[in-house]
Amino acid sequence: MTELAKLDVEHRQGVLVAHVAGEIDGSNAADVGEQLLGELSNQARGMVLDLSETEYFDSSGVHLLFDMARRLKLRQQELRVVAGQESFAADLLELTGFAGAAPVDDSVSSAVGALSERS
Amino acid sequence: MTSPGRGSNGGSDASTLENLQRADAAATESFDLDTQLRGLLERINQTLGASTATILLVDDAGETLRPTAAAGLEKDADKPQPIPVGEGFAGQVAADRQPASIEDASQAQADVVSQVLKDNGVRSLFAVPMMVEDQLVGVLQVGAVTPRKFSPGDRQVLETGAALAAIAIKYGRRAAAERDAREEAEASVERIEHLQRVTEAGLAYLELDDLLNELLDRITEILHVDTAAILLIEDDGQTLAARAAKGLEEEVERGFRLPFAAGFAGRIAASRQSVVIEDLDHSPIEVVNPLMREKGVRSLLGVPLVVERALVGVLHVGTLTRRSFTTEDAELLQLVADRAALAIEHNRLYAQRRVAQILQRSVLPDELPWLPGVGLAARYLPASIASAVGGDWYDVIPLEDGRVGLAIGDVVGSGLEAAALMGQLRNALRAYALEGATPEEVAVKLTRFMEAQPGDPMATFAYACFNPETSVVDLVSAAHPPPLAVSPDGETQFVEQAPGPPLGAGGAPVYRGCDTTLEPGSTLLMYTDGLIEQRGHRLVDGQAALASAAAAAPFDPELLCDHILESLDAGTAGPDDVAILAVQSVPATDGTMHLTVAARPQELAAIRRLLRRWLMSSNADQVDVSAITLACTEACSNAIEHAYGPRDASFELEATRLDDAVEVAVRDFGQWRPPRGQDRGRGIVIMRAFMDDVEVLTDDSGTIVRMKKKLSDSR
Repeated sequence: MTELAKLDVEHRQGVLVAHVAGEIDGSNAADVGEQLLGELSNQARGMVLDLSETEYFDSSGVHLLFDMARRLKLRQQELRVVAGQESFAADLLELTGFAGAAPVDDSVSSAVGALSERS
Repeated sequence: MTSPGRGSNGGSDASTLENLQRADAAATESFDLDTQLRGLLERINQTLGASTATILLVDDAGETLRPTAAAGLEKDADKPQPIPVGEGFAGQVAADRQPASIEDASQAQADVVSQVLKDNGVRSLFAVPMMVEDQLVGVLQVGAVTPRKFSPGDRQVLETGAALAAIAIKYGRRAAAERDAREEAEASVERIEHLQRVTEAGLAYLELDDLLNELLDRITEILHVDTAAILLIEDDGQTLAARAAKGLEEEVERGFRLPFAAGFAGRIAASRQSVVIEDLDHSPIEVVNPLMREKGVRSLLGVPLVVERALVGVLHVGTLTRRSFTTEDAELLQLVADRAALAIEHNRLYAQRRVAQILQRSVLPDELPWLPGVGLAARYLPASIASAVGGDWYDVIPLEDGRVGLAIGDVVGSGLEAAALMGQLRNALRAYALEGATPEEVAVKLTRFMEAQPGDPMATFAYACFNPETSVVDLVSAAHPPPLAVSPDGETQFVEQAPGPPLGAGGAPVYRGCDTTLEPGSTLLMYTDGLIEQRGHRLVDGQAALASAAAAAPFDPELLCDHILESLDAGTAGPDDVAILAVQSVPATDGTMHLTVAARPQELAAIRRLLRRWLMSSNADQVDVSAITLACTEACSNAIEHAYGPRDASFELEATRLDDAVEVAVRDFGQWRPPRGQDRGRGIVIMRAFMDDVEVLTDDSGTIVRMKKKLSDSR
């Protein structure tokens, strides 16, 4: 079956960077979450979740992000989310007050920079 | 040689005996029986002062004596005259197993002396039987040209000589048997090595021409021949063309061709057996290939190349010197021929399959048309078995009045002919359909078309005419498996009409069409029998499996096709071609889209796709399309979450284009639960943020969400 979302991961300066292409909805958000956590080692300082290539994102995705932020905090790791400026994802994150759970950046490089400086 | 002979005493006899034994012990090790026996006989002659000594061996039946070795009168052994046991002097000794002597042959018993001895002037004879473990093996006989009385010492020498000869013969025979066995074993090992070299599995990975050349190289080496060539029968069945050659490479380079029925090759073809020509210059079989003479080929061995009892060609080897090819040579060459024939046949089938596939791909539609109100998807999977490819086809024909013709069929048979006929059928069908013929008329016309084709071809076929405006499908079937209707909430039903006979079955067939309604969002699945036929399963089981796969499939046509192929395991290694064509009645007509969808998250993506398409055809801009799609998905997600019962639950979505806005209603039949925790309930927030109006109404039967958004470009 065609995969709705495609996950592409890389490691930059001790940070896991995950690019999510395609669509995230109620049918696959939980799976995407499991995949992301599977990629994150205990040694990583944290995770940058890049939504700039995500074509569809709704409350299921928002729920996933809140959940990820909480679970990473328990592991003493940090989550940063990248959403393109004026994108639907950015609007949704603002609308749902996600900034209270984890920082939202404009670009992957600034997110990675912020995470690696911190530790 | 003169000798004291007569009157020799026992003492000197004993020392000569020792010499005899010593010399013999050394000779035994040489294992050359003839040399050994001859040496022994010469020493006996010398010791006894005799003129001739002969060993006669008895045959296996114990009936005849045959002179085997002789010293003195060589002629005796040169022209061995068999002597029956019991006849003549030696025959009598053999029969009695007792020593005997003749003192003067000119006197008494002269008649028992053989002519050869008489011719040589032999006057006296003395013979002893040769025994091994109480078994008679022969007779040792000495003769002198003078009358003589043999002494007990002479007898001792002779008996010792006989014993030594018997032992030598026994060991010699054993050694010969051992040597034979060893040679046989070596020959078998060599043979097995030869067999392995020409049947090696690794050869299968070579390209055909490389394989044939490699086989010829190996057989040339194994059989020590100078030329080898493979000639294949051309498609005309009349000509042989050289395909590969060693030592006769010009055959291939010049594109050498021979009349197939003539000469050497013709003889092989006719007899289907190996044919040997020992000498080209004195052969009753004509060799028509002039290259053979040019090259100076003298002897030839040829075998047939046979695949499934059909002759496909000839393999022959030749030598520049005269040679008698053996049965074993012919057997080995036949093995090479069988190996080559197999590869040639595989290659032919593979090439045929490739051509059939190309032909099929070229007649199947590259891309399905985009038609308002119609969702389409199709799949074609060629059979895994090379020879089974070809014959399945489908087509989508947009008709003038907005209707669409949907065809699927399966030509009986496979390979190139089936694929070619399929192409013709497709063109004929297009012509009839575009003329405006009804499905019943199309079927009758195609029947006539088939009957006009050579070779009595047959095909099953189904043709449906779908009207997106009325959702009505007019369907006709010529012995084709019934299409399956799948509703978006997962209900399935085979559209069983009274099928007519297959196209080309003869007679004056009557095809009755049937009307069925394809509810908005429903899909009609047409397929060929490769999808439901599985070895060892009944057709009805295949149909049941198809129905349950379709019921669980997402309702988007593309995803539905994938899901069905995956569920029925038809995507890989099918013994038959598989074609499927899915047509969906897109629930968007007259500005309203209505959907009934199974309450499961997998459908969300398909709903979004349909909505986007509908919104775009309703002239909404990109931002509005995204916003409305997002809000709708949120509402549908809620409906799916609220639906209770894991099965059969469904919900409805209705989208309506108003003058300047779009209104969407999502209705479920479950109960909304209060949002769990902070994370939930965001759906409503999002709906409100992206739509102008959102209201949620809950009653006993369920919940309905109504949303409205003004479109930006209509402001």
